[in-house]
Amino acid sequence: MERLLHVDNISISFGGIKAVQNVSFDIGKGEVLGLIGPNGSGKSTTVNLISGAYKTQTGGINFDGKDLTEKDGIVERAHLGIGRTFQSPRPFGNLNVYDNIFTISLQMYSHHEAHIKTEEILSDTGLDNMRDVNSLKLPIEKRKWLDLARVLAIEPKLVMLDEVMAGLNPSEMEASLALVRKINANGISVLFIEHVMKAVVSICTRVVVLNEGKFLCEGKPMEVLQRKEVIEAYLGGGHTNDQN
Amino acid sequence: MSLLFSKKKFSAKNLIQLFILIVLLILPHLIKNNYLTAVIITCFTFGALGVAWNLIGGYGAQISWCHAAFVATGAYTSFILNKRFGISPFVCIPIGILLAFLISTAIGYGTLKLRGPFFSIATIAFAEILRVLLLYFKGVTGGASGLYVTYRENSFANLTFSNDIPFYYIMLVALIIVLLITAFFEKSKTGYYLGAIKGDEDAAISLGIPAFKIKLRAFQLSAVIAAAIGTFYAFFLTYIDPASICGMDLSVKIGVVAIVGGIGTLWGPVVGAFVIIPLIELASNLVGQQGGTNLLYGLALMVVVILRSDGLLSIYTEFKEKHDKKAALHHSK
Repeated sequence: MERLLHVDNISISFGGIKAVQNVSFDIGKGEVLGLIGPNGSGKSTTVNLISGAYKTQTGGINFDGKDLTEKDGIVERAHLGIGRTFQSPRPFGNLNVYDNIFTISLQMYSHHEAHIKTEEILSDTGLDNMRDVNSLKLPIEKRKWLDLARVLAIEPKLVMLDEVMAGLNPSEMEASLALVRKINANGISVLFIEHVMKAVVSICTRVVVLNEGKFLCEGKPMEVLQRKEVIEAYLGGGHTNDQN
Repeated sequence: MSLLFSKKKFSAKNLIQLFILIVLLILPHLIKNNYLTAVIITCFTFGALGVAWNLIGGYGAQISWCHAAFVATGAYTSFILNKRFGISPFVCIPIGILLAFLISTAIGYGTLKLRGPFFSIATIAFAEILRVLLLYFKGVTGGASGLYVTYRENSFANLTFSNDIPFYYIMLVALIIVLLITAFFEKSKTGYYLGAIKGDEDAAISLGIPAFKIKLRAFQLSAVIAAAIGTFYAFFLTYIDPASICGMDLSVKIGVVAIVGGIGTLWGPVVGAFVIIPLIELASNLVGQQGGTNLLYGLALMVVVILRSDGLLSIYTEFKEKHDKKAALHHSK
């Protein structure tokens, strides 16, 4: 598989806290890579490093053949095609659903084309019947979809989804998974950060596990989740006592 | 306005618009009272300034308290150049605009990258600095005693007239131009981006919108318009001094007009101006100059913020929405 994102040995610490240490991994074009690990393992920090919100202190990131430098801030990386959603959705609360998407698509298109693009995204993401609703009045899963819909308006090559399943009920989760699959089917790579393992197993072709800011292991979802070190990272070592 | 000229059938709405336009055009000849004309001109002026303020304060939610300084930039530039070198105010306007552009760029560069109240605080500080500078450089600015233009002849090029009626039309045209610019801005890419930044700056940046650049652009536009209006306002007043034209009072008045009328709406500041300015005139006639007007501001602002935080214009828009919904329901039946 052709490589889209190459994360090479990146680290960042905040004061004495080493949030991410020497983490490396790749994402292929069209791949759905799971990024999992217990709370505080550095998943969201990794996303922030890739998106440019934080600056890497060691190592480097290569995206689509281009080495990202200090000069490539969040805005520049978004223009390169790195999109992300936030753990808690962040709609433009003063705008309705349509304008939330339309505003972002204006960056790539003229007014006329942006209207067409917005219609396309609205129907793709199933937000069509809510176009006139103020984005703050949306229920939580629709807000997450709106975050996703907006990202699609920048024509991303990579979308980093930060816990899109959290707080959703099973049927909402199914619908959200279908949406992510649809996005992926259009050739967009996905970095899928998630605690809900059912979702990870069902959608990811490969997962990377972080623990305490370090790379722990990677592999096929089902295999990785069986591994002793992964179970220990999530549950602590104590569970082995029960087996004895 | 655009509806007025469309080829669609003439509706009741068009008739009302046409009626308002005609009334506006003949009004100064109807009232024949120079004081009342002056009040209406002041309403137009503050309407235009409020609309300009709204570009950054309303659409961008970056509250500026230095718009008086931009008014002063336009006013002093044209007064000084006109008095010293006899240059027409119309030639001075581009110079005032350029100065306001440079000043707003300098203020914006330092503060619009920061979040929170820093921009607002910096604007207050800047306006005060300019006011003190105007007082200090007496030789050029006339210091505390200010500058005035004397009437010699009716001259459009020098903006001196024997009565205020020409200013009525000048300010009306200025207001319409400012409204047109703002309406265009609302629909422009920059306008949309600014709306997104107002909604959530971090989210906007993460989606590729260069927030700082957009905010700066809006602030520059807002400042430039205020400076242009400042020139006309100064020649209408015929007298300017640092306290009245570069003071906190004027900055607050501009902001209040927009906030009371409807922050972040096209027509809000115009509505606000036509409510606040007559009220101030009324208060200063009834209870005397200073104290009364300040009390009035406070009260007006409190009443609006408590009862109608979206501004007075929202009363109309809400009514219209309800009406439209009813009409739609009726239609579907």
